[in-house]
Amino acid sequence: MSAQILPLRHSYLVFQLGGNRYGFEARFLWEAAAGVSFTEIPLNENHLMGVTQLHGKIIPVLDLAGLLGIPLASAQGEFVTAHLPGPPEILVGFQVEAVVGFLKLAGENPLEDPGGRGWIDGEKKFTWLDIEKIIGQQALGLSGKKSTRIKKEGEDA
Amino acid sequence: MNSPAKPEWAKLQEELSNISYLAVKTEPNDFAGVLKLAEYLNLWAGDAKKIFGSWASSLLLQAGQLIKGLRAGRTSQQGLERILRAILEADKNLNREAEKSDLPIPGREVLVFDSEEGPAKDRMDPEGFLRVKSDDLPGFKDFLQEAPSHFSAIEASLLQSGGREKWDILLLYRPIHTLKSLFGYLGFAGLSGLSHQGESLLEPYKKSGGRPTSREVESLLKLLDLYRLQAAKVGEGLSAGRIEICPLPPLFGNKSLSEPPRTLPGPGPRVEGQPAQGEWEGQGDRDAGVIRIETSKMDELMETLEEWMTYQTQAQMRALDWIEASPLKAPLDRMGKLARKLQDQAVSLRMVPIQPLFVRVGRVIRDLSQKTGKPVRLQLEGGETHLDKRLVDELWEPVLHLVRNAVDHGLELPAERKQRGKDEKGGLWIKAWQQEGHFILSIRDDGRGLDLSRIEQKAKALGWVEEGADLEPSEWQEMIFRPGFSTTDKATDVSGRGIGLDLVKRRLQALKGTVETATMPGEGCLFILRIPLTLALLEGLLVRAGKGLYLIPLAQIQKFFLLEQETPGDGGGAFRIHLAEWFGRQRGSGSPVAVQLEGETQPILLLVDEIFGKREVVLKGLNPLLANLRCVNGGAILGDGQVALILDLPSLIRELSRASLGQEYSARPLGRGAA
Repeated sequence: MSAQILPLRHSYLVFQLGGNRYGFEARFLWEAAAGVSFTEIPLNENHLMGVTQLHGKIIPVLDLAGLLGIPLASAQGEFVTAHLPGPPEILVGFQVEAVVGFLKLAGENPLEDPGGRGWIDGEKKFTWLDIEKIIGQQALGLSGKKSTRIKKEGEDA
Repeated sequence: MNSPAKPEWAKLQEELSNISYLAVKTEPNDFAGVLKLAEYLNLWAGDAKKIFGSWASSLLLQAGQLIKGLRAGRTSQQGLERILRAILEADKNLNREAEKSDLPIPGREVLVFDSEEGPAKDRMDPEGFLRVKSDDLPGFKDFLQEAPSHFSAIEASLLQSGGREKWDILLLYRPIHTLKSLFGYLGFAGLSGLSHQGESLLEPYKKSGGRPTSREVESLLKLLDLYRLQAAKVGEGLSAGRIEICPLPPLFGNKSLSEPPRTLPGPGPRVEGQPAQGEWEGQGDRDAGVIRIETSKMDELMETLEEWMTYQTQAQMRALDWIEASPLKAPLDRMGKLARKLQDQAVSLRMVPIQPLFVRVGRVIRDLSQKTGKPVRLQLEGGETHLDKRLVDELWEPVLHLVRNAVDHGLELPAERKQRGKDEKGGLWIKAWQQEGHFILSIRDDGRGLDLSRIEQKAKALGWVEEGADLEPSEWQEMIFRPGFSTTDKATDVSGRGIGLDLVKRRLQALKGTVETATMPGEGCLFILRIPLTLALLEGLLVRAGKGLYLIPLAQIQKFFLLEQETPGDGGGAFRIHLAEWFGRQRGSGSPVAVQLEGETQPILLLVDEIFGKREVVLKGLNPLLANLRCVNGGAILGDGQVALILDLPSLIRELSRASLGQEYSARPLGRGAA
């Protein structure tokens, strides 16, 4: 799949991980592709499992499932690359079981109301991941501390 | 004395540089490290003795006595001091021999600038224009490229100074300080002097934490306008070989600040995003035959090339049989070769020799020498060492500050030097070389060295350490890199405001590099700047360990062999560890291959699962998320698109050597357990 640009303000890329649906703002999506392999790297405290290359860039591979504490149902799947404009500019990839698609939420700030973080009209769509903060923490080497920035399913505001 | 063969000479030089680097890195309380250093020095002196006469024999004797002394209980601190002294002495002797034998060392060109021999002519022509000689051009061009960022920083800081947000005076002070140096170096003494006055105006606020008054901000904005106007004149005058010097109004004197410069046009209304009147824009791009390209664009070009090569390799591999029998084979092979050539050419566009920076240093020294009344003999070595252009640019400021400090504070005046039995002409040595994926620059002077007692006194006065604190000399030395530290009571227009070394450290940190110092009172001071290469062609051995691919730089590999059975006797007393396990990963199941490395205390057998052979790769800096991976200093994209990590062998060997002392064959704990 080639890179997709989604300028919509409240668009989210939704994907499947450990049987659950997660999503992050589509503006941080750089590319989603299948069949990307990676090379293992030394064990580290940043939950990075390897490196791969996309378009001539060396990209770290984040163990997102491990970071969220969920088992990955299948090693096969799709590879999602997120881009944080920075500074510093960061590109990071992670494996997901499947990309579900893009979801556009209505409202000015749908994720900040009590029904936010993935709940729309009383129906759960996905768990929102604040990818900017999650990756920012990795970049700062703060992942060893308990993250309060990852909002879990059903977590109160 | 035998006539030294050139390769032997170069080897001795390089080894001594390595020993001096190790000496700077060694902690005074690290007894094993100091002993090891003494042994290295002993070996080096033994080699030097074969070529040179008495001084090398004397050094060999000294090193031998030092080893005995250390084994007999001499403290490591005393030992380290002696070693540093011996290294400085050996370096001096080696340089003297170079002068005697007039040796241009192969591959390591040595440049010598003598401040007294330089053309100390008046650079002004009869009409008051600054003459530009051809060898001055690179300096002016670099200035045109560099100055706008300083102008913007000053402007932004001045405009923010009146607000309520947090404001850091150093963000204003530093660019003025740098421009003072740059204008002084280019020959604009008046503007450099005016900048000095601007610095003095800010000095009280640095201490009090206050902000300049609106009147002072106005004066500084006028100074900024002058900077821009002068830069515009530089851009205009370069091709003609003469630059008009802007007349300077007394911005910080007693005269009315509102008085406009006599012959200057007024600055005009300032519109955000628009250049002020007199401001230049892209002057440097007018140079015939030179195109300035953003480094990010070069990076994109290289990435595209790498991607192209990846797809080409994959396509050829997938249809190998078909291609072999096809008439397309020859053109496809040729395309592959051309792609590799393009890649090399793209790398070479980014890689430049450090020589132009050396030439600029020569020019600075000439001016500083005249200003301070200290004759200087500058020796530059390794100008042919190639470095990413961006890093060369980033290095200029730190180097400028270090050489200014060396001349202004380090070197003594001729009379004092004579009294101390030194050559009246001060010595300054700058060397550049690459080592294991790092660029290293050493700057050494033979002046008075750091005055540790004065540093201690000042640090205590500033409240940085408690009374009675007992710090190691290296800890005191660290103080000089703190913001605002200076042991000089009176700032000159050359240095002494405690801004330079702080900036040096910050700049190096921004490049993921380090700056270290060693000093011997009365003997001089050595600074070593070390930055990881962000781009380079590197040869290494490609290996697989577990599921990881690694490139081991060839320089320190002694040999490699298949290890049929892992019995304790196999390594012949070598420390043995599997690379995957050392990195906390799972090793492969087959018989490993041993790569023998030279350890600090004993040979190291680094076990890997597979060896693919020698590869030449383009070393690339890593994403910020990967910056803290231990024992790794870059990555490379292989022909088939896979990524290999490049091992930082000095770090790996250091870690393994330490582990070998405990002879533990276990993965280092890393927090999460093996995957």
